[in-house]
Amino acid sequence: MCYYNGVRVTKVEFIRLRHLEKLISQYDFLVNPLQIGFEYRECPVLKARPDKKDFDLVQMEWGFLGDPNKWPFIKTREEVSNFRHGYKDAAGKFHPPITTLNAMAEELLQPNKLYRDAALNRRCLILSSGFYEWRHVFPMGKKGQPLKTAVKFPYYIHLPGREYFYMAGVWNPWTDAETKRSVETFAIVTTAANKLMEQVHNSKKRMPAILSEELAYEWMLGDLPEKRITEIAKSQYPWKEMEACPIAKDFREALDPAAPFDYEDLPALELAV
Amino acid sequence: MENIFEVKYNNQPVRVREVPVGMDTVYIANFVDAQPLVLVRASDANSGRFWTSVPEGRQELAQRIGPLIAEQIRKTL
Repeated sequence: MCYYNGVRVTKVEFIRLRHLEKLISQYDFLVNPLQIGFEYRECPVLKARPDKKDFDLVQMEWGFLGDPNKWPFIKTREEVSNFRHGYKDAAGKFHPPITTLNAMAEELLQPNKLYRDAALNRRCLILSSGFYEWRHVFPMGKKGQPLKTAVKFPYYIHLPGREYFYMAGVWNPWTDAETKRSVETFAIVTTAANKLMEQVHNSKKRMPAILSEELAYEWMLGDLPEKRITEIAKSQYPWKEMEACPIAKDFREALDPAAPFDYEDLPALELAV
Repeated sequence: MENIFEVKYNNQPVRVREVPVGMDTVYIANFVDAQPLVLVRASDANSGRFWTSVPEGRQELAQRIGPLIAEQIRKTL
């Protein structure tokens, strides 16, 4: 007989529960179906092992933090919080937040860019089952002219038939100078929007760099020249293999954030070939 | 297809997701103010059923939340 959580169980049951533990540890990200970037939480990431022959599924903190030797104003958690959320200095001057959730593909390798070293040496894959973006729609005024203030509608975007897919990412280790606690942080690489995302994320016309299985493994494990890194980072996933549906505006609090929602005043996307 | 529902614990909503993992079904309880809890139904040595946390360590909470989940499932049958 064995004990699990203090309860006497049979050997067979003990093995089942231990096996479940192992499975769940690999799918820790299932715990939270909705990751909101500005909460800077941990997300599931595939990271190459040092020999670049295999990889591990790990949790990393979303919000890239650079090497404190080069970026000396983010040495402690308090400084990171100021960096991410903005703060007022002793003189009362407000310093706006700086977000490092996304890294633009076109700028990844530019000299002195925050992400350059990571793009060359620490590329990773972010596992996703879908993501959310806001579409801006300008209603028509009484005289038939578009109004200046947009109405925003949230969309859930996913790849039908794919439970999970890969987004290109770059990662960096960071250690709190006070507590010495280390974390791995990452940014999602973004590229120009494809035909679908141009209409959904129509304010910025950007999208995550979603990679096919082949490109994903090349991105994570390949020994790549700069030109190829940029090529993969800028690649656009085929819009016909993606699906976007409107969801409720309070989706962040919803039991199922991705549940479709019909809006009477929302024009359909124009996706005719 | 995942089943998602809500139970009340200590007057707070707890969002629960029923997720197939391998050959089993686990329940992931998301709390407003605590780390998520993964629960599963197990058999004790006397063939009785009990709720347990996976991994080990949060048995007391699992035994409180588990019956609430069971009640909610019964309601929707």
